[in-house]
Amino acid sequence: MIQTKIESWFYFFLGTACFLIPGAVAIFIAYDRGISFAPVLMFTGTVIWAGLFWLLPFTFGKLGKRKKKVTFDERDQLIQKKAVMVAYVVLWLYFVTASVTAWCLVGPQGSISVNIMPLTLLGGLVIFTFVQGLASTILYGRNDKGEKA
Amino acid sequence: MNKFQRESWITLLLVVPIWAICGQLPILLIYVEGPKFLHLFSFACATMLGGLSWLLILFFNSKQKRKAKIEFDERDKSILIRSTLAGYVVLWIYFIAVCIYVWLTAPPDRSISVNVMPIVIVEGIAVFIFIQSFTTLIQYGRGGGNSEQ
Repeated sequence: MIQTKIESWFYFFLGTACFLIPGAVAIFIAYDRGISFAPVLMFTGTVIWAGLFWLLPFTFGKLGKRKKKVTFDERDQLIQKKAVMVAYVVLWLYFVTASVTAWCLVGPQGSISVNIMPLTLLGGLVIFTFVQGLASTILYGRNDKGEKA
Repeated sequence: MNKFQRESWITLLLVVPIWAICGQLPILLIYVEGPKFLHLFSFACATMLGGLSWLLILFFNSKQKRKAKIEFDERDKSILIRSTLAGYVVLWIYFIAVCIYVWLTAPPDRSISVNVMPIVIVEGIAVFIFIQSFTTLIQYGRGGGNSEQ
């Protein structure tokens, strides 16, 4: 199993939990003790890191190419791009569904807790990570005929 | 200037401002008349179409390419994918920024109007389309020496 395929399995099973726990803890701290610098920083760091984590292989892949240690080739790039785009499509549908559901449940004159927005974002992150991991795993599974063990 | 550059200029100068203003119309209708099926449906369709319009461009251009009707080569496809990914990266940062802003500036009872969520989504589409068109223009400008007149 090649390194990137192992990473996609790791992403699929553990990525969601790794990003979900610190984000949820930050929201809980903000809810319980009020807004302060620490939970805001923790939440921002988690969602930026997790939401843009997929950019890292492209950066390190290019660095590795320059050093002639290629672990992330054109095929990996293509799979990664496809997986990210599929995940973004699902993420978008989730955001539209979340806002329509909130509208229907509360009514247009109603109000929602301010914590709903970060929770929605965190839910989106979980869905994004899950779908990206799943799509990469499926794409590697479909295209692994000629790979070395 | 090729077809896609022209389309990007039109999107940048016309579609983004029109969308940023008219996209709020279903939200206003729901606020005034209540969450009727037609209004909710039009909101869902408009946001899905706005956020996933790049999928339609990719699908129809690839289909027409197969029929040899238009020139949509690998470079155009690569530019479209890159600009879409750039748009999504900025969209993600925009969502985080809005979330943190709302968190920090919420009223003392810590609740916000339910209409904030759809407004954020509609404006998110304007941000996404703007960045997508802008990066498309930059990419064609950078390597557009052999583009058709």
